[in-house]
Amino acid sequence: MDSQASPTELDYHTAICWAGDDMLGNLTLEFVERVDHLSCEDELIQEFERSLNLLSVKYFALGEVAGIAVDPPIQVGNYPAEWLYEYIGGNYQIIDPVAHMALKTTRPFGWNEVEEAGLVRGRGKDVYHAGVEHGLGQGRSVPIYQANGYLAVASFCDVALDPDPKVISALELMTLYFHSRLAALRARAEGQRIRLSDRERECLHWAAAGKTDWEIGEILTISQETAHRHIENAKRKLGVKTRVQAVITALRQRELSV
Amino acid sequence: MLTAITSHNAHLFEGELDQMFRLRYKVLVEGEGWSELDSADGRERDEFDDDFTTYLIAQNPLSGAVAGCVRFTPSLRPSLSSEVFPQLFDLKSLPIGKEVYDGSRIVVDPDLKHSGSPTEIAGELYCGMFEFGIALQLRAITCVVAMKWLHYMRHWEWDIAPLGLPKKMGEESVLGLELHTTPEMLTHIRKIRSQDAPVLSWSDIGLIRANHEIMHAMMLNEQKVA
Repeated sequence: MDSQASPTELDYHTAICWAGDDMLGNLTLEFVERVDHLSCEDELIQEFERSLNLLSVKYFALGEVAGIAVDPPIQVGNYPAEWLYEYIGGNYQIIDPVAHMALKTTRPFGWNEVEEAGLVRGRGKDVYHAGVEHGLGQGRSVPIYQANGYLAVASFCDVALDPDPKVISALELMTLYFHSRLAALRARAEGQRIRLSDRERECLHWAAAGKTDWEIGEILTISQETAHRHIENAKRKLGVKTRVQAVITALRQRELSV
Repeated sequence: MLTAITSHNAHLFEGELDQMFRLRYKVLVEGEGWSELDSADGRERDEFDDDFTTYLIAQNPLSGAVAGCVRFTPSLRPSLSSEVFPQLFDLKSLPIGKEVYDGSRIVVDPDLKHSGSPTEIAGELYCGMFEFGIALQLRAITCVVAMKWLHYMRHWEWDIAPLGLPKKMGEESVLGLELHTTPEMLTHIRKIRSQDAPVLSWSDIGLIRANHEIMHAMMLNEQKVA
């Protein structure tokens, strides 16, 4: 590399490796400072992808690892579409060895470490190898601790097996900012939804446990008619016809929890 | 309510300070396993526990036992961030000035049994931190946090700026951070806690302010002499 070449003659990627720290730091700071000014999810994802490209990360995926997949997990990313469909449709996050590894560590890890930890076995092996077949090379994952208690994992692909730890650190920090802003934008969108009242939620909770309107009345010291009315209101708000559907929809929308 | 302790009133709180150092030992050395902080006498204290340090302590309302604590040191003196963790401030240089303090050793007793859960005490300490910053009109409080705490701070929309890229320290990733103690943040935290009342008394605010001015005048004199 000719050290006399002016920066404008080099492509951005090479400039990062060559100039090292400063470029990486600026890139990270720029993204971190920009993130809270983006109010559109698409814009946010675009900015994140742009930063990732500058670090020569080809694919990324961000998903929630729920113990029991009651809700569709937050899935965002640019993995090959067929792989994403297969993953989401098959609820692969339950058997994915990468997800298992994320549950055991608080720090970023390379996928090679997942094999070394002996986590690639059984059905997990299929997920692992299927990913490779879909064009996903070696990768790194970053566990994300969400305030709602669910773990999320961000994975990055086509990163060289032993990249500069500073690049991984930059990824870790930018991912945290990306994820938290995404969650905030989604919460804001959800906040504009119609919510169940406390009473409606309580009645639905007991209905989910198999109680009749009369039993719910006894438990909550309200009349049977009132309990019935609360559940009818809940059904109406959730846009469903039966109380079973109401329970399922409420669980999905996190109006109710098991 | 929290109690503020500086070199000016430390003589009135010798018992509480001792309990505080024991609590720090219990939580950080025994609990977290930070053996580098180990000591022979069961108390955790370091070179940043000196006459220039301000402590905020939370006490169990029934027993008076120290249930939580935090400490602040002026950035114009050597601090934990500047001396022990400078490598964690590699994105932006560590801010220094009369309006910047370094915060550390925020500790809550996990075994609280009577009135006051650890989360409540933690919330009180956060409010105390913001009231402290606002009383002194600080530009920033610098600190070192594990990534996990950064997640929570982002979730609760704290006004923060990362000052370094995360680095591995034991099993965790940690980084240097600056916290902005704005009145908006204090209102926000009070709303989250559903507690409107200040946690620092007017006399403690007075003590903190006086201590701040006296310390900085002393430091200026030291510089002139040197």
